[in-house]
Amino acid sequence: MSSHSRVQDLAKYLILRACRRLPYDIRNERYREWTAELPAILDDPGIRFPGRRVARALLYAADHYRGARKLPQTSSPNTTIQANGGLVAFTGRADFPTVRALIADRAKQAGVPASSAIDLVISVSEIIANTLMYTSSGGLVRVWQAEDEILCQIDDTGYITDPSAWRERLAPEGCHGLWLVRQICDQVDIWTSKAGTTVRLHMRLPGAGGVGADAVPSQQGSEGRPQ
Amino acid sequence: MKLTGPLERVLRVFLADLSARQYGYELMKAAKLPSGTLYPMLARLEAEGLVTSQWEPQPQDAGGRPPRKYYQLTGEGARVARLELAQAFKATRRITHDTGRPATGSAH
Repeated sequence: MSSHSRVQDLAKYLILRACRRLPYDIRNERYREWTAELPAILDDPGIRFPGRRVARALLYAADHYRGARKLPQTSSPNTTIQANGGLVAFTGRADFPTVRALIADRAKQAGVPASSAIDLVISVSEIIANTLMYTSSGGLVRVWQAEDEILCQIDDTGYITDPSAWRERLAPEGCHGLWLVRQICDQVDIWTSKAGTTVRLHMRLPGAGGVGADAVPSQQGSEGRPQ
Repeated sequence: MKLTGPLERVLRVFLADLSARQYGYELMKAAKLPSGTLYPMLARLEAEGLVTSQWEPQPQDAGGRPPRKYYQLTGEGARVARLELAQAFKATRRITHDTGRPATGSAH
């Protein structure tokens, strides 16, 4: 059984690596789903040789890395936006004050402390500055409140091709804005395709308690990480 | 929906027993597909409303195993799957007929 657990740990690590290729909001669930299959493979009575079962479990885990790229990189970002939100379009620098005012106003309404509200305004400004830098058209900013967090979503027509944008580490050149935003916000989801890019920022509301500790997948995949 | 070989195999497994709870690993074995092919396909089918998934807690005697997720065809999924497989069957029959006939004809 102990050699089993070592194989399981290795397989879980491979699955964790695959899950890092997925958007934040679906990582956790996929990790749980895929690792839950491991005992069934390792104890499969249909395979006679234990070595075969181990090989199959590891192949199963490793192949998710390939599959993760083909999974829809979205949990349909536009469907969960609620009616209590605000929306503003931007096409140039002149629209910055309007966007800032909207975010600040909604953050205040939602009960976000003033310092965090400023952080959120800065984050949104960084994202729309990116949009204006890399695309010729503007975009759309939405803000709304969910149960225990405030969400801002920026949609534009760009397509992020630079892989360093996905990395959580600070890139040597460029993309500092996105890095900064990741440091400030509790969660950053990015969906990008040739049809456009959606960036969604999450900031937990005060009094939301420790929910985020296990509900929000950290980049280390702290939830259910192999010991 | 484009019916590819792997997709066809998955649909066949689902159609073989509509009420069965299909777990990822069992589906992989039955359809002979690697995980990196199966799960993106299931996600696509689910997004199209043809398949639903459900978490199922494992029995106590299984030694505290985590809940697993199983997949089932929806009513619409079963209808579409039957239709697609029937069409694919018809298409392959037409191909064998088409290629068969000129071959015998040219012998004269």
